[in-house]
Amino acid sequence: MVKKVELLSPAGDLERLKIALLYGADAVYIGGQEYSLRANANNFSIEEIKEACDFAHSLGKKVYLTLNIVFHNEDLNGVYDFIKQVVDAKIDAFIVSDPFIIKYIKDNFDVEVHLSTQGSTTNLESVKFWKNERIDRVVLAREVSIKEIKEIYDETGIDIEVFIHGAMCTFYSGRCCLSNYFTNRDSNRGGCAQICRFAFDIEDNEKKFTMATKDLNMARHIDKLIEAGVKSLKVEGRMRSPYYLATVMSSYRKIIDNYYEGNLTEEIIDREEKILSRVANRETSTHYYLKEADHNDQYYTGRQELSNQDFLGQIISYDKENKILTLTQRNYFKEGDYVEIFTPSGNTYSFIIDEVYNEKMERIEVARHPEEIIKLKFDIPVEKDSMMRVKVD
Amino acid sequence: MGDLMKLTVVPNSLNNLDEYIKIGADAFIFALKGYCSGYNLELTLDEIKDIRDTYKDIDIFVAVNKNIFNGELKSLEEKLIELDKFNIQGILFYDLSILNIKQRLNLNIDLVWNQTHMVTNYDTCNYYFDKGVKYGFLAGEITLDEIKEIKAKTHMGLFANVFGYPLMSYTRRHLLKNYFISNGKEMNKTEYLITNNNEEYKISEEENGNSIFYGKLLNGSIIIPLVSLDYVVLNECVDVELFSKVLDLFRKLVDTKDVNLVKEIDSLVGDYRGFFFQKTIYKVKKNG
Repeated sequence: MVKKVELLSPAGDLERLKIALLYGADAVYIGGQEYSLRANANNFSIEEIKEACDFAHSLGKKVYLTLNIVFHNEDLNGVYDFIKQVVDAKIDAFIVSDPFIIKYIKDNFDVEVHLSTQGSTTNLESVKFWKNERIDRVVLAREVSIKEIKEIYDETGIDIEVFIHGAMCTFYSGRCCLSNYFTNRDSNRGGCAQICRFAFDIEDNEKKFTMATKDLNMARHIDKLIEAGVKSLKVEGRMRSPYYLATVMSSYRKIIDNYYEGNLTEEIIDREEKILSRVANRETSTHYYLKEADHNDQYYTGRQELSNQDFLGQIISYDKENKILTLTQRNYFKEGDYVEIFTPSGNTYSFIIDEVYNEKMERIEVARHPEEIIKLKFDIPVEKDSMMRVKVD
Repeated sequence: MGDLMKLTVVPNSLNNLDEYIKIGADAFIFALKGYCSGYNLELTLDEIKDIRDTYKDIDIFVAVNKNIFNGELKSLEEKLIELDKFNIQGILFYDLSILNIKQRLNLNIDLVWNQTHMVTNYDTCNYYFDKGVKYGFLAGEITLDEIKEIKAKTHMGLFANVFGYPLMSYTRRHLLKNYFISNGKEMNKTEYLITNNNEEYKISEEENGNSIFYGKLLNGSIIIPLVSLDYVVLNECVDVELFSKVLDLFRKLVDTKDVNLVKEIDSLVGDYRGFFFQKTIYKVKKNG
């Protein structure tokens, strides 16, 4: 049986982790409360890491922990104890950029180490260096092309992980300290203030100078990445919402599964691209994968980021006897709206909302209040944690 | 490493090397043409060889600091093999392909770990030292106390920038070219000043991408009497006359450790100290 490529999701907390795994991720990456590049995400305590590993392993899935800050002297205190605790929590791999940590883990524990994209690994010779250092997997820099990925894989056979979706850094990972100079927040220790999204005046020109990039979206090119030898497809965004993760995992799960089943069609890709484009409301690009990135890959024109109100509710239970589903409301909807429910197991049901009820089964016609408990009549049993959204045409 | 602190210049041109040596430069850093970012002057192998042959008593380092891609590896290897024959003091490298090539080909040339913002702790210095890397070029974003601790806990020789506009970021993207294309305008120079919140920054475009520099001129003279480094680096980023004066004062400061000279340098170029006395933060809230 062919081993499928891994779909790797971010998870900022336990709720997101569970959603990502339920919606099709094969593995998740998380941050501990120290040493990760999202210092201001909620992140996981040791107890939560253990719970996350237990949950993932019960599904036959994996959890990786980011330990990818660029360490300063003061960060060295305690890191060794922390690593031991995380190993004891049964983590499947560490994602690391600082090489002394790589050596320490490989010398002392039987656990995988993945080289973080923070290392900006862009070529075959560097990969050989890391392979000699016992790295199990390399997360390649976002500046490499699919052709280069294939060359690296063909010559080294190493496990390669690449980003396929989400926000991009304008600068080489690890080579940007704008945040340090603008805000005194250390970008290489998780304090990035996203200065690359600021607008600047530029001499002799009236129009603002910006350097922000479009997001990455590789939905149409997953086959090429798999055929180049990629072993893990990674989505960016440890601070993204559960709905975002459910949507993105669900779409890529469909694309990957259809690819392996020989059923991947333009129609499927078109639909999933449409779904993906709605969930973040930012323009996307393939950046360096297919060609040198250029002005089309950046936001140099005025950009509107409209608030997305597609996410209508998260299903919390289904009453088979009375055929009623219960959900928590997330955005306004009303009777007569054309919506769809998508489920962790990959099903999607489109329908027109007939009648809307409150928690006491009183008909209210309109669901106006976030987090309100809402009940709908629905004939098909749906799983807990299914999501209801605006119908995607 | 020894206690002799060497005054190192990154020149903008070859016009004033004699004068800088006369003032007291002990070493020069030159960027290898086509393999660098953020340098105003890049030299070919032949030019580097000429300089080596001309200035036999001066330490010469060559910077190769761009990210390397597969298509460049063969040519890079050939250049490293040539540089290995030049009797230069070392190569400043960013990309680990260079370390791997040195190990694989058993080259004798010394290396300077120069991963710009990443040379920040003694354990990683020791890691690279154990891999045969002789020197580390300290990140500009660490404090003097951190530098002292690194110095105390590693055998690696250390470089630090003490004069110049700090490099903040580097991208493969051609941000200026892209900006002008998208606005249908002509880009008529390779350096522009950009401004945000009344602070100026220099953005510089080159074949290998874009570098952005902080607008304040780093003056790290104050650390020279306080910590012993192997190479202190001055970037020629002001006019020749001023740079010569600054270099002269740094020479005296290195030789005498007289703190009064710091005030003199301050009066010429200001007293922006970078992160030497300013610790960065990275958590803006406590985790719940």
